[in-house]
Amino acid sequence: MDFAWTPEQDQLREAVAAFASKELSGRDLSDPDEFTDAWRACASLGLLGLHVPEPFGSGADALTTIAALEGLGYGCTDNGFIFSVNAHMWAVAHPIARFGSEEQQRRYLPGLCDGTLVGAHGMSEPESGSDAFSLRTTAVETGDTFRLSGSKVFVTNGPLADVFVVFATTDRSRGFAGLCAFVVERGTEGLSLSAPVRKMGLSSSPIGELFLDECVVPSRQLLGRRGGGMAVFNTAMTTERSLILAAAVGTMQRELQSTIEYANDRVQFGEPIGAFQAISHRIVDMQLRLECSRLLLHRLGWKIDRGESISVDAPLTKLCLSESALANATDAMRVRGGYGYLSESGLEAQVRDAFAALFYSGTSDIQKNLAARAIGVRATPRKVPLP
Amino acid sequence: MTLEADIRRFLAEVTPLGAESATVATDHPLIDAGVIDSSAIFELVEMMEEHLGIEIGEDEIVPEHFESIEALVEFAQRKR
Repeated sequence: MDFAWTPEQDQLREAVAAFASKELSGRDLSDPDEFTDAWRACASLGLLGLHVPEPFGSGADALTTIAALEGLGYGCTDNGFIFSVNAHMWAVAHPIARFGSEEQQRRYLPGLCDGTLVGAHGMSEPESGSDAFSLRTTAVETGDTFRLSGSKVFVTNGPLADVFVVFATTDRSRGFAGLCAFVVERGTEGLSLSAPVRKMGLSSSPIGELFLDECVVPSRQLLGRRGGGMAVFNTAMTTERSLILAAAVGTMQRELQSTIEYANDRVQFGEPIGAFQAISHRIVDMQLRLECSRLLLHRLGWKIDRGESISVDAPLTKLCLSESALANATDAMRVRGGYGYLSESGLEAQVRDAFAALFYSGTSDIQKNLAARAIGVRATPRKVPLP
Repeated sequence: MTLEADIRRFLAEVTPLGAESATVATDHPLIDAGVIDSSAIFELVEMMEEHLGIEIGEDEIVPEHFESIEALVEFAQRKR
């Protein structure tokens, strides 16, 4: 097996890392103007449309996209901004590229790729998080329009987005079978948005609520087929959970390197602290988590590019990367002791940001449910063995 | 094995129907009766693609193709 990047992928990874370090780090990306400027810079580099098929985007394959995102995570210390970029790519641009009509693709993909449009995805509701298909936002069809009513929470990029992929049901009694997806534009009458909500981390990612009050959208804004919302959501989420933490591999690489440097420099009891097993073993644990995460992610990308089933790989990868990112950020802090606890070390933000990964794109518990089912563990026993 | 028999076999594998999949009526409402849930649909699609040699587009994963055994057979027939 060849585990190496191609020369082109390696160059891309390094170029994105250098760009991210120079253009994205050391700025206050929680400021809307700085955020927009950084967003446009990422778009100019081709990041936002990397995975979108030509002619709108670059049509890069999964492994190439992973290489770029690892570079982003390595060079950019602002995980909130990275999170916003990923939500835009996987939960908005990607489903429009896969399910959008020709008109929808022409109308939205150029702007989603060149940075002039920011995308947001509205699925979760106050009463439906992990139980996504029990949502209550309704879509009532009248002639050639749909009237949408309901509310959404945890809408990443919501407060400043231009284009929203929103899910609503035409028949609550049918659960997932009544689900429809719509593309709704900012400014549509009946659509309103909240200010950003305060969070534990991902500070520069504006996340808010979305309200639909008899919001009328033309039928041509249906994304995919009537009743096909579940497939749109599943495609978006499968890709999102596969790739949203690719940048975390880069982040973990950076954290590991700086932690090793610290352990070699910091002297206690007359020796570099790395000489003590309590420290060196902790650093090895960080390396192990990084390597496992990287291997799972790269194999997942390989399988995606070969069109193979990823029903087991996707949840396992997301589970591993998210739990590893938090454990590594925590260990990076622990190696530094009291100095790691100071905000100026930067590790407070990394730990706070990493916590969110246990929840978005499906919680760790949901990933385990998905993986269990995919590997054949059934909630009810199979009643008869198949020949 | 007929297409219908294949579909029944797949349903036995991925849904709680189990042995009952052999005898359940062809117009039994699989979705509305809770037999096929949102995960089973994709497992069914994988099995149909693998064992029937057909390709099912993401935009074809809509309830009307999975409502009943009859609907599944008709859908698979069209894809062949």
